[in-house]
Amino acid sequence: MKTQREFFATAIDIRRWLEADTGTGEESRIRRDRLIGRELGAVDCSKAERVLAWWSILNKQKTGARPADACNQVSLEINATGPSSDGDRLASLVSIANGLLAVGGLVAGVVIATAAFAYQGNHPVNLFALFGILIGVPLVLLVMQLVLLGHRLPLPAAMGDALRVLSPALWAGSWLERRMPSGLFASVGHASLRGSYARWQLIVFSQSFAIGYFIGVLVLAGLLVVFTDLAFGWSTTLNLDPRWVWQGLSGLAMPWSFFLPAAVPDLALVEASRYFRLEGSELAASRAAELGRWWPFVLMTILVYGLLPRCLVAGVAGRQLRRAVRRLLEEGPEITALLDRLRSPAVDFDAGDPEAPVLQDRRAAEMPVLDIDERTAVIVWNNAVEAVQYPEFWSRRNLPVPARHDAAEWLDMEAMLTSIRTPRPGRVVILTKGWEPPLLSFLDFLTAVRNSIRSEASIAVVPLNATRTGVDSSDQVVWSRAIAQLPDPALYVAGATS
Amino acid sequence: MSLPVFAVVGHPNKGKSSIVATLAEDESVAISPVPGTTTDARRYTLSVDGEPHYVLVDTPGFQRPGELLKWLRSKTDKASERADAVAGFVAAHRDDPRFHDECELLTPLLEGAGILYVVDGAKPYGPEYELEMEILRWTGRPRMALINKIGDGDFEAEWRQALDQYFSIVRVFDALHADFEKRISLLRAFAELDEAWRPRLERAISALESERAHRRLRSAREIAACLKETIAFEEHASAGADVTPAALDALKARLEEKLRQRIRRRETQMFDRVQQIYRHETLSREETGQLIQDVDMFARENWEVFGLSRSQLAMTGAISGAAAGGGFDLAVGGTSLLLGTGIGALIGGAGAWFGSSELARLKTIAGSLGDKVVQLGPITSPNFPWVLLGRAWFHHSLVAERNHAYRDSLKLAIENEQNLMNSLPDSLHRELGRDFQRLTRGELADDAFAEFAGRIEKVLALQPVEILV
Ligand SMILES: Nc1nc2c(ncn2[C@@H]2O[C@H](COP(=O)(O)OP(=O)(O)O)[C@@H](O)[C@H]2O)c(=O)[nH]1
Ligand SMILES: [Mg+2]
Repeated sequence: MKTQREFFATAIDIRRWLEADTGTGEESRIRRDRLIGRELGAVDCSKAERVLAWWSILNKQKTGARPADACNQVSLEINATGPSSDGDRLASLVSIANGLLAVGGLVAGVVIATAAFAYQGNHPVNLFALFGILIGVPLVLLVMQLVLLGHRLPLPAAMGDALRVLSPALWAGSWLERRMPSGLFASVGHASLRGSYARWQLIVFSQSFAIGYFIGVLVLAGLLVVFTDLAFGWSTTLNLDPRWVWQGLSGLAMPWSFFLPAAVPDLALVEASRYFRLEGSELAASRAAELGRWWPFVLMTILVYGLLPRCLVAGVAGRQLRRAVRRLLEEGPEITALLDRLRSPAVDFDAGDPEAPVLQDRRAAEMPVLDIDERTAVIVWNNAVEAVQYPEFWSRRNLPVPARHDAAEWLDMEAMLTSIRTPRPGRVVILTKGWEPPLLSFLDFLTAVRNSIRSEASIAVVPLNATRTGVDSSDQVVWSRAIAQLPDPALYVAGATS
Repeated sequence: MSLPVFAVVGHPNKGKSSIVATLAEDESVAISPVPGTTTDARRYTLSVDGEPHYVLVDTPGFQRPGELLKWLRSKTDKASERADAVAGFVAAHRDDPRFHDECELLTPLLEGAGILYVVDGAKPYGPEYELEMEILRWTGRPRMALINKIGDGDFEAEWRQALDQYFSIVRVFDALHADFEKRISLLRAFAELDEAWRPRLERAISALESERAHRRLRSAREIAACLKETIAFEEHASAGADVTPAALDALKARLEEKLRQRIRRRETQMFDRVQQIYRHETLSREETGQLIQDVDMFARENWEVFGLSRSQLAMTGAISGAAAGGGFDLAVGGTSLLLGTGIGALIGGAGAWFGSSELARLKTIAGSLGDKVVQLGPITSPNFPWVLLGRAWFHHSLVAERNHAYRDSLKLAIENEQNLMNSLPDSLHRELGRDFQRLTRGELADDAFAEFAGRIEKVLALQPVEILV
């Protein structure tokens, strides 16, 4: 089974890989992932397992090995990630950050405790101040951090910034982001991080620091207890009945009073420990020994109210972090899209190689105008001008109505040619439907006409529009191009503008 | 079960390739006003998970139908031998360059393809078509006629009378403007040609339908991710020791330009990916000067068309606290903007305008060694996400509706009382406003992303503009 660290490293690798993969074309991504998705089949496994299985197959494909087939099987043996992948590096950095924070906390604990336990022998160590510094402040910070990371409080910006400066966890977060920009901690500076990985990782960071801190405090306190004499007391300006103080402290000691009665202060001790600075500094040695009896209570208080809550929070946050790491493989745009590609059928139209691009040139050239004389043979191709319209076609152009020869796709070529040949025309005009493309059969016909009449006679092809008033310029271009394919210098396209 | 194959045949230049491009969603199909552009038969296979569901074959048109029919008639006068005669023709002319197109066209039919005969209903019917139709009848294959319309004429009635003589099914299908429903209904009609093809075609149809729904969701996710990322953009620079207001202003201008560049790049990437989802990769490379991609994100007109007015922003709760101080004079009362020609022509002082609100605020953060580092971002302009969403919405509607046979630029018009975002239902408006606020604060966690994308999908499901062609 994968450890948390390996899981995290893989998750980071996958996310980074997917980010880089956004450059790949949509269709090839669909094809690639759907292929793997079908290999995984409909096996019932969680999103994260599915993603991991996909990753392992992908890596095997890259290394050329045979892909595995079921996801529960593969999720057990994913270690395709290289030894120095980004994820691994980030995971190491996280471990390093945790270690550094713990050491930093330890040092801070020792330093702060040294100050808090400072005892020159003239006054006993004030318990209120001691607990306030060593336990109270970290407790308040803990609560504030938990609240701040979960919710956005309407704090003034300056105060929010100040709080951030105080948080070693946020230092660690921004250090990580700078060392290796993963985006995971990017919003640390300005946001609450509900439900995200960064939130739990930052809480864990805090606990590392705090646990180090309390261990430092406890170790130092232990050393002081063993190797120096300490005297504890309490002091207040208020007119406080020692009985109340005793009740309060016994309440604090409740959790361990059942098995460690020695660490519970008694009323006599509480009464004896009150001191006033005006009393003077000299304490009787006997009283010093008496006041030293506080130490088990002090250590237990630090342990139970300092270290223990941090350990509990660390435990809960660790569990949540584990889930959040899992969610790194279940949520987010790229992961969602991937899961989608794995699941949904790839619909695709495949046409092999792309066709060559079409070159377009739609410029129409100048055209000679349709003209006829008495030696012109007029051929109507494919009934381009119907018989009833034929006389009007010419009269609209102020031309005499010439004899009409019909030629068409469906007529016999020889018969057509015979009728045109007699008498031999000095010129041939062929009326065609301009909106229909010139087929090769028409070019065949032109060639046949040329071969059957005198070679110097000109042949004018006149494409017409549907109203027979002229021709659309795009159609004209099409016809001119088609006609130009024939090597006939006396063959041209003419316009029939009326 | 046999694989349905349909050969798209007919006269040259009647939109055969266009129909194939539309049905196969392939923008690489060669389409041109020059007849004879398609020189060889090309097969387009629709496959779902690699399994072919049906095949479309684009063919060149008939070039010498008269000679071909004459040859066939000379071979037999028995109806029972006609299909064999066609096969005989192809066998005899396979290597004859004069009948290359005919052989390319007939071969798929001999191999069992159904016939989709395409004519242009905007042009008059003519007797020369009877040759083609007669040849197709000789093949004995099941056949359907599609009346496409290239241009304004209307000769549909005339065509129907002729086509009914030769085809069991005659349908109108506009290659350039057929929307998804029309394409699906055409596929359904294909099944009527041969009942054996129905199961595969039905499966193809349901795959296409779910794919269609899916594309919108995927686009919504792309757009949501783009919003999420761009809003979080930050630019940093070291301010050095010189932190006079003038120096800071200059620095801010520089950072802002960098920020804009990054946003533009990210937006382009999002556009590209949405186009990829709809298989319109090359759209932007065409001469489509009026497409939204070519209008700068930061041009003033965008902010007028897609941004919100001050009162709208207040309604979505987007102006709050400090942002309200900015003051928005974005009121675009009663304008009806012609986007397309409109935006392109109107762009004046591009790039310098967000109303009086800034894109992002400049913060000074402590750097190492006493050095001052300034940071611009994340984006706090309350209008920014609306503008980005508006553009994405607009672009999506264009891409999603665009036909793959359509190769010219589209003219788009926004006819709107105030602006585009007004057409969103109030509840959606408010929800998005909240999402954007959370994005601005970096509070939209991964687990809320799906919901956010869902709302974007709702936007995409609405039609922002009329597409005039
Ligand atoms: N306006 C319009 N033009 C079309 C339509 N279908 C095809 N075209 C145009 O007609 C020309 C020929 O189309 P194409 O598909 O290449 O025809 P094919 O030779 O039969 O394959 C191209 O310029 C197309 O843009 C249509 O439905 N409307
Ligand atoms: Mg074609």
